[in-house]
Amino acid sequence: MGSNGPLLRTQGLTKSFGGLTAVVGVDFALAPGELRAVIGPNGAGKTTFFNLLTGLLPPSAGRIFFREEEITGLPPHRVARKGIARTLQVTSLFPGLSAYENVWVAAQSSRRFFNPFVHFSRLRDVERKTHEVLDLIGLQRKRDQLASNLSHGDQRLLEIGLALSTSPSLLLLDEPTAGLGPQETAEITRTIKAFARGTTIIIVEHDMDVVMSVADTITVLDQGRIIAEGPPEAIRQSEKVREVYLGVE
Amino acid sequence: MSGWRRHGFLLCFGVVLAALILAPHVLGTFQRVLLTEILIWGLFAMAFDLVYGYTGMLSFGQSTFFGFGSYAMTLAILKGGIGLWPALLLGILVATLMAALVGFVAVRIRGHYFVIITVIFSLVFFFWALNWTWLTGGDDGLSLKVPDLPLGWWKGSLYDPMTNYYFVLIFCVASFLLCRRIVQSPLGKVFVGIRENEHRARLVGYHVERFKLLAFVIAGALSGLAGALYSLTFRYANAGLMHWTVSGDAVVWTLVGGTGSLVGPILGTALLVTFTDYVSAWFENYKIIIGILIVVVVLVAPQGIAGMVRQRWTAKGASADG
Repeated sequence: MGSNGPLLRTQGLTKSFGGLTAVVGVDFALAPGELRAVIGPNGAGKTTFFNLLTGLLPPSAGRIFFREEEITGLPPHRVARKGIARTLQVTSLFPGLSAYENVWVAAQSSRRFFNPFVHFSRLRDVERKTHEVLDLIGLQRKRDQLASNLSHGDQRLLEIGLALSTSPSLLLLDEPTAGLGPQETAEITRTIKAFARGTTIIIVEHDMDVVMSVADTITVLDQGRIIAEGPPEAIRQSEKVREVYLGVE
Repeated sequence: MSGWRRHGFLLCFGVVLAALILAPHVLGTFQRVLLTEILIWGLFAMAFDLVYGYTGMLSFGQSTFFGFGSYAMTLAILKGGIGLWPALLLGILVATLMAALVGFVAVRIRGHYFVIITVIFSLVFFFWALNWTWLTGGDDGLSLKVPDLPLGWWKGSLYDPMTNYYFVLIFCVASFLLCRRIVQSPLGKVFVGIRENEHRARLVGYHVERFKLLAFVIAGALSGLAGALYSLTFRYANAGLMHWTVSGDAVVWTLVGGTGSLVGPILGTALLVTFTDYVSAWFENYKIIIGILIVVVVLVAPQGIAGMVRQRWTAKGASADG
């Protein structure tokens, strides 16, 4: 209940698919305002961990608390409404809508009532939020372009924009720079740093430069277990991490 | 820009409305009946567009609600002996209820399975109507003696062709304006978001099934209204109205006219119903020609007539800006 408690906490979180256990007894805690990176080799269970947190997968065992309220087993839309937003590894937008409409639809989602009898442009607060997000992700000038016509880099930015539009208390970024060139990666990193001041973030990322430059704390997963946790420097120097992760890469 | 667009809409709407108001005075009996029929089926197709064009659910079950609207109203008049207004209201209510019932199950199912389940529902209710002849008249159907149309101090009769035409017109225009309002509203934007990417809509916090059900029920109510208007105009109801191929017609009209546009389905209905009427008079296998026509439209204008017009329009606007 207290504001000093963790924003997000998991207790023995476990997920098995048949014989394969993707996430094993993960005890995870995240303080408000933190920017946490979760790293690990392919198949370490990072995306599964995100899917458990956002209700896309039901856990096999364990519990999830958000603001000390249990959210284990809630469906994805309820989790989103609690204030947890996420981006996906594979870009998932509203392709036939403009960048503006994409953000607008997401920005509206936190409302309780969807009036069928007024014109959508009447919602000034949603409009304001939409422009705010478009400014933040730098797509204001491309707002009338269809999402499907944007470049891959801009689509990744819009993907983040959709998550930000819901004004989340916790933002989960799943490989935001996947498939991007160095320039676009720099653009995304800059954007993340820009909004990180106001939001608690967990980022899953393969690009170690990005991870080292943005994260406060790094959690290392291997075969579904947390094997190390600490500030970037400590992780960089950890023998164990080197062995399973950095050494392999 | 948006003000200009709004004026453009009002102008087009005004012209079309004026034409529709004047039409029965100019047209012969045959064409007037045809136009009435187009209005009713156009309303039905427009309701389907709400489900498919805006919310992305390819439903072949809309005829069920058309049939229930038609039967509930007809039976209320025949067996219940109640007046026209309460009977019409009952028709819409029963159709709405059925849509809620069918929708409750169907919206949980996605993709091809959704299409299949709507066809199955359609068939179930069709065979039910076909077999319960004591209630529905089965294939022969029921003939309806239409009660008076009380409008305040004035009493009209739907046996008068002009009254009948304007009666249908008013409901169609009102429904069109209602649908237009809905698709431009915050709610309409949620529908479109679900059509574009259901998964993403869920992740930003929408209870997708609830919104799908809502679209399904609104469309069901309008289909019921169309069914009731049909029975008031042609004074009968039969099991055939519930067959899934009736839904199939709406699908075709909407695809030809242009999905997700409201106007498109009405345009498509006007085109194909007129075409069918004239061609079937001199060529028995007219469906072949319609089939070819549909293939041509899908190849030349995959987004339908309305989609093609819109594309030209925006292309022109863009080049004018630059």
